[in-house]
Amino acid sequence: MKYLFTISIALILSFVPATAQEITEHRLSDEVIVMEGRGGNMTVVETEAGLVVLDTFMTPASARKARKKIEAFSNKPIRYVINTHHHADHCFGNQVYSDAVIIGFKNFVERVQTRYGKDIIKAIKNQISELESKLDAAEAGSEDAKKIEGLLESSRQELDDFGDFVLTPPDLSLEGGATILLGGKTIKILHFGRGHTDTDLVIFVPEEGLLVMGDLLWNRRISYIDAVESDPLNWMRTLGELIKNCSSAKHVVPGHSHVSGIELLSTQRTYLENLWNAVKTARETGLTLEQAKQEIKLEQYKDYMYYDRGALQLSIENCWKIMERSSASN
Amino acid sequence: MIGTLCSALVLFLSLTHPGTDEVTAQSINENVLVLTVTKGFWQVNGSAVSTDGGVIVIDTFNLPDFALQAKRKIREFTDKPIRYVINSHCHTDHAFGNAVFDDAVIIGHSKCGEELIGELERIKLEDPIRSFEKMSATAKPGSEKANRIDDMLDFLRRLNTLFNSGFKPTPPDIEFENAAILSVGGTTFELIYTGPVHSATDIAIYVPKEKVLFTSDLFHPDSIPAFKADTMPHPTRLRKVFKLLLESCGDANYVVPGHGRICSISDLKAQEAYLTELDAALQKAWDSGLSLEQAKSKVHLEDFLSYDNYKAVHQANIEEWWKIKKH
Repeated sequence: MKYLFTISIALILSFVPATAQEITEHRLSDEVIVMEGRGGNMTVVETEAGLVVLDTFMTPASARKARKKIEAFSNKPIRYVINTHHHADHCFGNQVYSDAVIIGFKNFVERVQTRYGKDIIKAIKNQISELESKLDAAEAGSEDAKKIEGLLESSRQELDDFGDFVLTPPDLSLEGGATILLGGKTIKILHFGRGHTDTDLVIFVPEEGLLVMGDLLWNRRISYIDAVESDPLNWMRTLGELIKNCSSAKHVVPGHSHVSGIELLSTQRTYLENLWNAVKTARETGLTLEQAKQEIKLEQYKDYMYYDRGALQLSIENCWKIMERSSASN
Repeated sequence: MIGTLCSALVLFLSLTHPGTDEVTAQSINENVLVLTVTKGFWQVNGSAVSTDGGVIVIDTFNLPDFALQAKRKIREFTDKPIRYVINSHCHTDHAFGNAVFDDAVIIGHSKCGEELIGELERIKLEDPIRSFEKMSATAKPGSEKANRIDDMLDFLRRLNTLFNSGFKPTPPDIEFENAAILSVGGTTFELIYTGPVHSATDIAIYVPKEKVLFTSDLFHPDSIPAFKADTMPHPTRLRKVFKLLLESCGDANYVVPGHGRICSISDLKAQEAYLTELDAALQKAWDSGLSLEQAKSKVHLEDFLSYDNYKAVHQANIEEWWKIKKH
C-alpha cells in the first residue's frame, strides 16, 4: 500500500510543477468556467437553480482558493459536486464543498485507502522522511539530488496544503450512470466501466455542449495508465461510445491541461491503440520489458508533456503488467 | 387504470376506515417514522428516517395535502432539516407530493420523472367519480358504508381537481441507473434496484443501521403475490427479487411496504415461499399429466389459505404458470 502511495504521490508531485498551484480560469460560456490548478481541472456549470462543480482539486487549500473564484463567478449556491474518479488530485478538496451533495462512484473509500493508505498525512510525512534519507545518501549537487530536493520541496508544500485534510467521500455513490436536472440544465453522468480507473464518471451537459472527461482524456500529455486500476482496452471502447453519443460536444474538458473539441477523443483513442499495440507486439516478438521500454518510442508523441520525463516508459511498463495479468488469468 | 380503480373498490370497502386524520404517524424506533394516509383506495405508507445529517423522506403520497400533513408530522418527530426525498417508484400515490419537499434533493430511479408525467396523462378519474356518486346516492345515509364511499368520493374529487389544475408532477432531481448508496450523517441508504416488477422504476431501500427495509409496492402484506405470464411481474423475476431482498436485507427487523401494516422479514419470506411452493406443486402436477383444470382444483397451498386475496389470485396464478409452461 505504502509503495502504491509513494508511486502515485511522487508521480503527481513530479507531474505538477509548483507554478500549477496558481489557478488559471477559462470561461467557456456565460455559464461554464474551467479552472486549471493544483491537481488538474475543475469545471463549474451555472444553472438557474445553482451550481454544479466537477472535481475539487488535490488539497483543501487549493479547493478553498477555487471556491473563492467560484464565488466571484456566481453567487448561486453550489448544489452538486461530482468526482470524475477517486484519485487525490480530483477529489481531495471535497471537504470544502461538503454543503453540496457530493456524487461519485461506489467503493470510493476502499479505492482511496487502497491507493493512498488510511492516513494520508502520515503517508506524506513518511514520504518526506524517505526523501530526506535519499537526499542524505545522494551526491551533493548531482542531478539526482536536485530531483530529490524538488520532490522534497513539493512534499513539504503538500503537507502544508493538506493541513486539516479530512477524507470526504461522496454522499451519493453511484453504481451506474445518473441524470441530474437542475435549473433548466441536464447533467448526464455516464459510467462505462473501468477505463482510467473503475470509478470513472464522465459528465455531459447537452445544453452547454460540455463534456468533462476526467483522466480518461489527456491533451498533449502522456496519459497516466495505472498498472492496477486501468483497463486500456475498455478505455478505448469508452472513448468510442462517447464519440458516438456525445458528438454535439463543443467543449471537451480533460482531467488536466487545456480544453479541446470532441476530436481530442479520437486522438486519445489512437494514442492508446498505438501504445497498446506497440507493447503487445513487443511481447509477441519476445522482447523483455526493459527492451520494450528502450525500443518503443512512439515518436509522434514526443512533444507531449512528460514524454521526456519517463512517463511513456511508465505507461509501457504498466500496459505490460496489465497484459501479463490478463494472460495469467486466461 | 380506470379498470384498476373500479376493481379496487371492493378492496377499498374492506380495507380502509374513514377517519378525521388523513395522515397518521407511527414510530418504529427513535429514528424511523412511518406515515400512513388512510384516505383513498387503501392506506399508503411513506416514511421518514432521521440521521445525524438530517431527515430522509421515502415517498410523498399523491395529494399535496397529504404530503403537507406528512411534513407536519415529520416536524413533530424531529426538527432536523429534510435533506433528501427518495421515490420508491413512479406511481402517483408515492411521488405526486414531491413538490412539497422543495428544499430537499429528490432521488429516484431512471425515467421516474418521465413515468410520472405519463401517469398524469393516463389516469382519468371522471368515470370512477361517477361510479362513486351513484353508489353514494344509493347508500344508506350515515351508515359506515356511506361514510366510506363519501370519503372516497372526496378523495377522488380532490385528486381530479389537482389533475385539472395544470398540475405537473415534480420529477426527481437525480435519477440513477442500476443501484446507488446514499450516505447521510453516518447512516447509509442502500438503494437497491430490482428491475421492473411493480413499475418501471422500482427500488427497495435498506437502512442497515436501523435494520429497516422499505419495499414499497414490491410486496403487499397478507396477500399472495399475483404474477403474469406476458407482462410484469413474471414469477421468475418475482422470486429473484424476493431472493435478492432476503439475501441483501435478511437482518432487517422491520419491513415497511408501500401499503398496509408494518411487517417483518418473515412476511417477505412467506411471499417467496408461496412462489417456490407453487412452482414445485405445479411442476409436479404438470409432470404427472394433469390438465390445467385438474391442477386448479387440486393444487392448494394450505399455508396461504388465510391470505386476503388467496381466492381471487391463486387460481389466476395457476393459469398464468400454465401459460408460461405451454410457451
